[in-house]
Amino acid sequence: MRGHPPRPVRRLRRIARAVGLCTVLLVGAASAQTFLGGRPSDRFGGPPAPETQRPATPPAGGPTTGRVAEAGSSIASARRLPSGTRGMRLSGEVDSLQYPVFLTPGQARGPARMRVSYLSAISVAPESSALTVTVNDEKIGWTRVQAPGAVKVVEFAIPEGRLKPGYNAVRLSVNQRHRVDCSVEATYELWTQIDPSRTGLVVQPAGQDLDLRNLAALEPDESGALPVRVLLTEKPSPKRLRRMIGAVQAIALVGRLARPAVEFGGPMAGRAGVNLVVGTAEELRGVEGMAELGAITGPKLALLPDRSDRAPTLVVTGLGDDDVAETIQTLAHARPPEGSGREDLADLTRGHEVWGGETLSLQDVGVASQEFNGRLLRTRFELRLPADFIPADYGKVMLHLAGASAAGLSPEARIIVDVNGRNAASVPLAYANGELFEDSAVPLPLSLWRPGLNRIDISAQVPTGADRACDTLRPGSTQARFLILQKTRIVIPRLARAVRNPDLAAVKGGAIPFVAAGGQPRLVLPTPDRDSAGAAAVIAARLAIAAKRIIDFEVTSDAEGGRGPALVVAPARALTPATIASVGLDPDRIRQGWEGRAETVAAPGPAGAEGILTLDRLRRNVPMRCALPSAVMPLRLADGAAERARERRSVPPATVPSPMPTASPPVPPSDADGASSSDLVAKWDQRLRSGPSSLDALAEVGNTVADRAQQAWHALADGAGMAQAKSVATFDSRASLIVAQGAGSSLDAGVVLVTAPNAWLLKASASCLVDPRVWTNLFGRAAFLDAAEGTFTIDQPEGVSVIETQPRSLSNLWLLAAAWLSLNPAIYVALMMLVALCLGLATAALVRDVGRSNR
Amino acid sequence: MGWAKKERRVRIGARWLAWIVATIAGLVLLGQPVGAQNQLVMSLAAMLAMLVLWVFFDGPRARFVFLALGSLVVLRYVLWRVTNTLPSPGDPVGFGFGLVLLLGELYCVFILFVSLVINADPLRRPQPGVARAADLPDVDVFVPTYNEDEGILAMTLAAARQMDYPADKLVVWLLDDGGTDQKCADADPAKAEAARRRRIDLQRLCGDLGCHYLTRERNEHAKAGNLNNGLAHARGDIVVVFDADHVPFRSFLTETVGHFAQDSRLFLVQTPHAFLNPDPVERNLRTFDRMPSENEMFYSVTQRGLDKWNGSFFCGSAALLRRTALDEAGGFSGITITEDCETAFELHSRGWTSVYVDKPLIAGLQPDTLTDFIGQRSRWCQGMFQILILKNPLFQKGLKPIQKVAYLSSMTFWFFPVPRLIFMFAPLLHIFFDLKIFVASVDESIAYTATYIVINLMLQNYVYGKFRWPFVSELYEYIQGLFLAKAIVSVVVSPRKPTFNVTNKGATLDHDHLSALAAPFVAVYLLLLAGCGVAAYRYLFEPGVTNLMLVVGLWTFFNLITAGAALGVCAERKVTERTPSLMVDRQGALTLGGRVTDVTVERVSAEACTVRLNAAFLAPGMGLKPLPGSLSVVPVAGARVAGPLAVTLLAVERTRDEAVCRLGFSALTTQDYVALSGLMYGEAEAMRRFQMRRRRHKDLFTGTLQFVWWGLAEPVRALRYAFLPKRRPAPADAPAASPTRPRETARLGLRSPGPDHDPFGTTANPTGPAPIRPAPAAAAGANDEGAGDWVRLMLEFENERRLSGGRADRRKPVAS
Repeated sequence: MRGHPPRPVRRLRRIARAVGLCTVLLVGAASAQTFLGGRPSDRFGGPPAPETQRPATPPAGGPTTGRVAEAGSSIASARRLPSGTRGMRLSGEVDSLQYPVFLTPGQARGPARMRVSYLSAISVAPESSALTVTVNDEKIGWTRVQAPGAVKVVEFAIPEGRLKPGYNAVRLSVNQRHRVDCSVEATYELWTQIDPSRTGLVVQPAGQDLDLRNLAALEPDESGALPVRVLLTEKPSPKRLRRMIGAVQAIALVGRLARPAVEFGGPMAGRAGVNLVVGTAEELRGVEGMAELGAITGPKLALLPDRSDRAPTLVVTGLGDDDVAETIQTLAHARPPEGSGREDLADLTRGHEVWGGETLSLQDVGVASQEFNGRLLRTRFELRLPADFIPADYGKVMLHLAGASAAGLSPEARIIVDVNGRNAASVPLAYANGELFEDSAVPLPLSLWRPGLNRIDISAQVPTGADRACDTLRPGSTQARFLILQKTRIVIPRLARAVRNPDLAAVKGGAIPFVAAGGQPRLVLPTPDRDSAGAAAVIAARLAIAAKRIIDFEVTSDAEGGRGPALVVAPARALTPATIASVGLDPDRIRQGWEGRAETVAAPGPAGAEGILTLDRLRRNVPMRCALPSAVMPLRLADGAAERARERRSVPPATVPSPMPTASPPVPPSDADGASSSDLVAKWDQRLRSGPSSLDALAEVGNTVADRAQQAWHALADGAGMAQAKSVATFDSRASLIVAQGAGSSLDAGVVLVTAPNAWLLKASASCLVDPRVWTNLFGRAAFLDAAEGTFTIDQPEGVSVIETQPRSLSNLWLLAAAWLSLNPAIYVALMMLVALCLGLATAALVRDVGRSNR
Repeated sequence: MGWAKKERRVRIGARWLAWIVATIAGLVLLGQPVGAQNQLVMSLAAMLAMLVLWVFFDGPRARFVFLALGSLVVLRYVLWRVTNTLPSPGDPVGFGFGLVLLLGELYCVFILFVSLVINADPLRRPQPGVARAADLPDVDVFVPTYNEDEGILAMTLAAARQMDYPADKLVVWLLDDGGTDQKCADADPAKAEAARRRRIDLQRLCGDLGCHYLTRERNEHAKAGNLNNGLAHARGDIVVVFDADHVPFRSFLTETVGHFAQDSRLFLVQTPHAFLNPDPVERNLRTFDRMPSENEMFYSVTQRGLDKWNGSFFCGSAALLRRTALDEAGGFSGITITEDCETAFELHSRGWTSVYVDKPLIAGLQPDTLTDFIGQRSRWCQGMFQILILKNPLFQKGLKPIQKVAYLSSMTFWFFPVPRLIFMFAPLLHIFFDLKIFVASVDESIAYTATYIVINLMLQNYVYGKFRWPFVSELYEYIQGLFLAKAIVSVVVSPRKPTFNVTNKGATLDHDHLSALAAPFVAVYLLLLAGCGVAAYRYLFEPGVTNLMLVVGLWTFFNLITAGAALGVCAERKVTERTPSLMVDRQGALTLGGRVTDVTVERVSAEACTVRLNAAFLAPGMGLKPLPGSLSVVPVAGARVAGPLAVTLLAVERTRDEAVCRLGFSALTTQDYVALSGLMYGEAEAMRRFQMRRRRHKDLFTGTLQFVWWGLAEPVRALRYAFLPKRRPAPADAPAASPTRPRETARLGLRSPGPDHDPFGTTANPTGPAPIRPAPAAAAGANDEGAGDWVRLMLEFENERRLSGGRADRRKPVAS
């Protein structure tokens, strides 16, 4: 903890401004420092931005229950929030983020505050925008959103007794309005970014309270990941590595939410994270602190509380290999006591799990009824589909919307439903007099869904004529325009259950080849150095979370041999061309492409290049762990990179405007009005399209028909060509990591390759890969990750094999056949023709013999 | 024999097995919920394959593969439609209407599949061998009549007497229900007098022609009762029934009677009903000469299809029935108002068999006015529903399953008004009330609905293309639908209530006018017009309205086209030919002014004929004024020579060395009817030629163009008729006309109107046939309707070209 004595405000503001400017200038040079589990106040190399120092001025009309942090008194230590798939950004007019935070009984008892650090877009009008904090469904305070230039820290006192032992629901919600523009498009400029490093519950460290039953209270670092330091004093044998990786997986399972960030090395300090000691009693002899455990006579799992120089330490040991393995299992099944808070929420944060054939309500997926008076209401929820689900057009998820729209909406008002960022449906709200809909059915084709986590965005665009005038002070401007009810239903059809191969979505969603295959899964580490092993452990832990169980990887350095599916984690140079080719990649191409990067190593700094948190990165909403220095990026783009760049999937899609000036003087309206060119294009496109031209519409229908026919023809041609296995044509030279899966019709022979230019990049990129926001977007047969941005370039397979994973049943076979035929139109058509031919000939033959005969 | 039988049974079993396996495989494949895109690929591929089959292949195998392809696509659509497109029950209004629309569609698909089964393999029958005269059965011909004119009856009876059959084995009975004791004792003295006079006149007529006149005490059980009265008196082996206006051709019995010798359980030989005059649709849209009649689809496809399954049924006339079978069933059934179908139904379920001879052997009349047409159809519709309700074929013992399906299809067919009206009005719900009754994305609509519609049209065009132009079925259904819907409701509410109404076939049509039934058609047209307007407006100017509006608007536009064509049907054209004529090809000798020459009779009606002769024969100036003469016709082989017909030369049209003369028949005596019927009904081939001339495949493109043209142009004509000056009836003439019957000899007119209807009848030429209206009148009429419009000209040209296809060397017929 560091104290900042009060100083004259004016002077401080000036200094702070200068510092803020410096910060921005220094970002690119990576001079800002970062720590894993370190003190976040050091992050910007200076005192907090001036706004945070100002005494709170209560907004008119209501008391601000939040108080601006007294610098020093609170900046130090907070129990941070776990990162989720939705990241840390509140965007649009109304948004909220919810985090399950596990507390020990001791932490829940004491006095607590909620600290929120945030940065907001310059367009957000403070007088009509508010950030509200809710803990366990009770509002504990709100503040005006006003932090365009620097991170602002606000603290809210949590009433005694509000926090519970176990999971607590912490919800941050915003209601934001644009300063000058009332258009729907302008709502995309509104955002409030939570700074995860300085946001959290200000409670005591778990300390002595921490025990094996509430390991979920282990605290994440500023990126929301749980740092796990595997204590290592010597080069481990594969067998030992296997146990360590098993134990890391077990911790990942216990934490449930926070993914681990694994490093091998000496013990770490601080309140976040855990040190992990794994080994037989023999191996652990001499490790510091082992003496406290006493004699080890069998499987033993122990937790050594944190000390000043050491984070909590988990010891996984036993007399022999079997004992350790048993202990690992025990760890994996360590669960908090029954009824510890909002456990359901913890599940929900990972996406509501569905298996097909269910009906859910919005309430079930954590969305409440909402009355809305802005222009664009975005409702988002996540559904986790089985990893062995085949997406194809054999069914539709039906969304039965219940809600209402007010009178006086503009004609272009509509509801748009996106699935995984792709438009699935658009429902006009055509009634000028308003409409109450109980059950407006919106089909969402199954082909848009993916195995594992799926993001569904329901956006209600409800502009009114008054938006053109944009008089925000008019009394009518706060009238409700749209209502969505939590009884809105989602009906999931029955799903075809089998796995497509290759499909990284099945890997990320359920660790499919490793848990579904018969053979022992293998983790192939040709170069078992610390970085590679760390990357492997991180990925193994993430897969364990996906699989919901420990995957007992056999660690080996040899890609050949063995009959189980293999996860190969290695720098590209350590791989044989055959291994690279086995997943359909071109070894030469990769070698050439990464030539320049092979020598890139960590920038100097206590924590390497990971997790550099800067204002710029906050603004751009880059996933926390995806922070490879931009210096790594080659200036010269390879041939065709421009086209490929267009294919790149940005996360999240197109909501982030280009970086804005850091200075915070009031922005002239003209400036704020200017959207990026892509926004403008979209805007004009929108305008033109909504124009009432029947010719356009006819042309559109015509185009649709033509497109469909063309697609159909291509599909037919593709099907007829029987999809030869071509090698991956894509190569993204900006990629720092490639994840690729080999084709094949057997899961046992499956190979998933994770490679990077060198070991250090491998570790840094793997850490980015497992960020929930990045991991979710993994699919295709090869994914090229740019760990500076957390974006993928995806290569889709030309053809896939379908491999059964479920016990055979008629209903599943039926669905599988449908899915397979959907994916193979040529065969469907050919079968249909054949059946028609047979039926016709059979009828012709039959008719001759029944009834009176013509001949 | 035993072996062969066993082998045959095994073979049939194997084929059934193959068929069932193929069907199940198809259903399993169809059950796969593949995506819209694959569906589109499949439908397009099926379409392509069907086109290839259509164009390049022939024969039963190709036909069945074609039908199988189409059926699979249709089934796929149905499956999707049922499982995916209903609005959610949470929206009860949308769901309710959506369900109604779905049921309508399901009905159509049901009818489609049933008709595909029925028409799987329409039977072509060879002519049965003719037995020796001595072995021929005795035949009784029944001509039931109720209110038909003497002229009509004279022609029918004369033709019946002249049928090619041993005279001693042929007895013709006129069964008069207009002269029953009950009628003769009517409370209204005028009516009683008319009935008594009718009885006397008809008795005389029968006496002259060698027929038996029969009437009865009371008019019980309508036509069935009348026929049963005939049965009570007749003693023959075979009973032939002709409606009063159905005139048999000479070969009627030779073509049919042989079947009875081949099958001892045969109770019925039915022949098609062929018509000399157009129905209101044909007349008002002028399609009689180029478009196959509505009923040809039934008689040339469906009845033949039914025949394969031993399911062809009695249609009330132009049929032969076995006396013993009728006796077993207790005569003609009379519970319902369609005694014909009911009788066949009874006998089929008793194990008797039926045969259908697809050769027009009679020429009849159909109702002229829309009112009469609707009345006739209401009777059929109600009667069929009566059978369905009172004697449901599904539960009838003795019928084979396929026969049950056959009867069920004939009966449920009459449910068409309901879905037709649903399809007419459903889109308006969206246009006016924003109801969403069909949930589908644009992609799906294209992949499923659009391809379904196209494939459905292809299927129908493939099966019925020669007999039905595209969309004409829809037009007929709509025209009847507006009125039959009511009839259906009333029969369902009280199935025993409907009574037999004799179809009026002699209404007057001597001027252009809007039908009395036009009001609802106009109302619907205006409603649909408003719907189209609102849809267009909303689509163009109301923001936020989607492509769905475009689709629904196009649907409504199609409905508007149908309703427009229907308005054309309501706009009744005057009849240009007082009596319907038939093209014949007979030789004869014409005596004019003391000179005799050979002529070819080209066209003949009940009041006039046209002959072709050497121009040299005609003296200069001939034809400028009426000139009496006589015409002797060379009888067809085996027929007796009839006396010469007294004729009047009315008009002459000359070319370089040929002339075409129009000869009117004046003052027809009973014996003249014998000669005239010998001329007109001597050769059944004449009727067949006429029908075959119209049976050309109408492809989807020109058919659609033609339909759209009607839809656009006909409302204009209807509008014009609506503002024509109303002709006021002259009430003073009416009472005088009836009792005095001044036109005793003049009523050649099958068309001769009843006095109540035709106050102008007396002003028409009372002593002879009215001059045939000159052809230019029609042309002038056409000119009025916007001649010069290229679409119409193109279509007319196309039709002319097709009609005159093989006859380029001959002149156009004079009579139109």
